[in-house]
Parts: sequence; C-alpha cells; structure tokens
Amino acid sequence: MRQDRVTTGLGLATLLSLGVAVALGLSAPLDQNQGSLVRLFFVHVPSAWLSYLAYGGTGLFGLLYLLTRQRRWDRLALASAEIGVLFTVSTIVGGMLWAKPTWGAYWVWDARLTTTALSIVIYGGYLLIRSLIDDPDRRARVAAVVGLVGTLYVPVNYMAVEWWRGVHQTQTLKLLGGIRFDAAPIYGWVLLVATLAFTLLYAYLLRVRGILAAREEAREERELMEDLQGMEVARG
Amino acid sequence: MTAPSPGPTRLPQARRRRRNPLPTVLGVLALVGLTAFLAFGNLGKSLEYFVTPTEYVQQRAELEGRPLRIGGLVKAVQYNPQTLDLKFDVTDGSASFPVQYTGAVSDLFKEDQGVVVRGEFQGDTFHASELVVKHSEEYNVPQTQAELKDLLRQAE
Repeated sequence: MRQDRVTTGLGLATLLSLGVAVALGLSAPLDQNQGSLVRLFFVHVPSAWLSYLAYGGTGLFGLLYLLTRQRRWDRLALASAEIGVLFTVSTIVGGMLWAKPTWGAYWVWDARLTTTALSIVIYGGYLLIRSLIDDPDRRARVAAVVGLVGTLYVPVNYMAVEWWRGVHQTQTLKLLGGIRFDAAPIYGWVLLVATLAFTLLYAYLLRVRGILAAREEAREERELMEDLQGMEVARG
Repeated sequence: MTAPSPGPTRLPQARRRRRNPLPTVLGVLALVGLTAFLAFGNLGKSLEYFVTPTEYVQQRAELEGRPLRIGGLVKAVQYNPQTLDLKFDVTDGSASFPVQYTGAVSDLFKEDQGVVVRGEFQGDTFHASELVVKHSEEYNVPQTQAELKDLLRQAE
C-alpha cells in the first residue's frame, strides 16, 4: 500500500490546527480564580470529546459491520476503540494535573470520574475479547455487539455530573435546555478551535490505524494460506 | 474460497502455536485489578458523593457516628498558617455545621467556595480528615486591569 495523499493532507491539516490551538491557548488571558491552570481546559475538554467521538465510532462502525458484513468496518471499529482508550487516559491525566492544585486531590471517586475509569474497563475488555477470538468473522461479530452496548458509556458519562452529586463541575457549555456557555467568550473560541483540531486528529488517527489494521489483516491471511499449503504438502 | 479445506480441528492448532500468551494474560490481570480497584476503592457505596447539611439534619439518626462526606459552601473561615489548623462552617443555606480540619488546603479555598469534607461528627462539630475544594463550571477573565496585575504577580 502506497502513501496516499488523503492521509498526508489530513495529517498536515491536523498539525496546523493543533498549532493554531496551542498558540491561541497559550495567548488566552488567565482565569480570575485558577490563573494559568485554565489552559488545561483547552486540552481536557477536547480530549474527552475525542474519546466520546471514538467510542461512538466503535459503536457506529460495529453497527455498519453487522449490517454490511464488510471487514473494513470492523477494522475501523478496532481503530476507534484504541483511540478512545488512549484519549480517555489523556483526559484522566490532564484532569488529575488540574485537580491537584484546584480540588486539592488528584482523584476523587465521584460519579463522573468513576464512570470515566469504567470506560477503560469496558473498552479494555472490548480489545481483550478481540484478542481472544481467532476466527476473524466471529471476532468482528462479537466485537460489534460489545462495541454497540459499550456506547451507552457516552451518555452516562456525559450526564453523570447532572444525575449524581459529585466534585466534578457540570458542563460549561450547556446543551440541554437552551444553549449557554458559562465562561468568558474568549475561552469559548479557543475551546472551539481546539475541539476542531482534536476532531481532525481523530479522523487522522482513525485513518492511519485503519490502514495498519488492513495490513495486519493481509499478513494474517497470507500466513494462514502458507499454513494451509504447508499442511497440504505434509499430508500429500 | 475454493481451496480444499483441511480437517476442522487441525487449523486452529497450527495457528495457535505462533501466539504469545503474555499480552492476553497481562490484559486480563490489568482488567481484574482495575475492576477490583473500582469496586473496593469506592468507599461511599453510593453514587452520590456527599450529603448536604440539610440532608444530614433530616437523616441524623442513620448517619450519626458514621464516617461520611458533607458538601456545601464555606463560611466564617479561621485559618492559622502556622499550625495549619482550619475552622469554618459548611452550609447549604438552611443548615450549617462547624468543621475542623488540619492541613494545607488548595489555593482556591476561600469564603463562599464549594467544598466537600470527609470525616466524622463529634457532637455538633465535623472533624474532617480530607478536604476537597469544588470548582464551578464558570471560567472568567479578570474584569479590571488591577485584578489582572494581581494575577500575574501571583503566577510568578
């Protein structure tokens, strides 16, 4: 498989928008209470957004696989789940760095944080189940179902701050019951740019990991064929 | 596939040989560990992280003498930076309790700030062993030039 233009273009666009987001984030004015800690907001929120996007992608691609039975949807579902776990970890790490100076603790077991940690169990389990099944079609089928059910995590995690009392703050950008942004408008613009950049990053990573998965699959198939031929020879 | 298929039992064996079991074993261990941590690390046994002072007044009979978390707003702060002794009232508007805590607190701790304390009631005073400062979902830039200069000086 040759280096294709779309991947390169997507990578460049991602890099550029991330650069703009970093520049904007670093030049944004300080917050009146937390000072420069507010900058973590521009990484933490887009990270969480990306992880939602990726988990949603795993569910969607799983569904598409079940409908069409084309293996490429399964590869994208796998890619999406891995990206989701990666960015959940990044969300947690960024959040912990913010929480220590703000709350006074790296971690508390409130509903939002606990459900976030659970997503690593859910999608770690998803990846583990995949590694346990040898038959590619069966693996894709089982994974699609797990991925679809796992998508439930996204609304539960998003609503956790509303449904249960906790330490984590509620949404700054309110979407339910009238859209409202409860922060200085400049933070809104930086957040928007950073979120767009992370969305591009998701598309790029998905594509790269999808290509890798296709190559892995091609190799797996080739080795299987060699095994089969080897056995034919031994038997004949 | 048009290739003649071999015996169904032989194929998986041939392929299983190449597989390294280590990642799977490590993965299972990590997941079991994480689940156990989530199950036993969560002291509260409830998804509600804390009770409010008003709830405590209402459910006093059940909650008295048990370790618990109380959340509310901070009033009447008395802090001794030498001994790190901290006294304040936690309130939700209708009920209020005095809290005692010893230790350093986050820079954001101040009057009218949301706070969650963990500890036990001894009489009417709450003896806290853990203190977490809540931050609201609102982020704002300072309004005046003087405030901004203050902030920059603190950041240095």
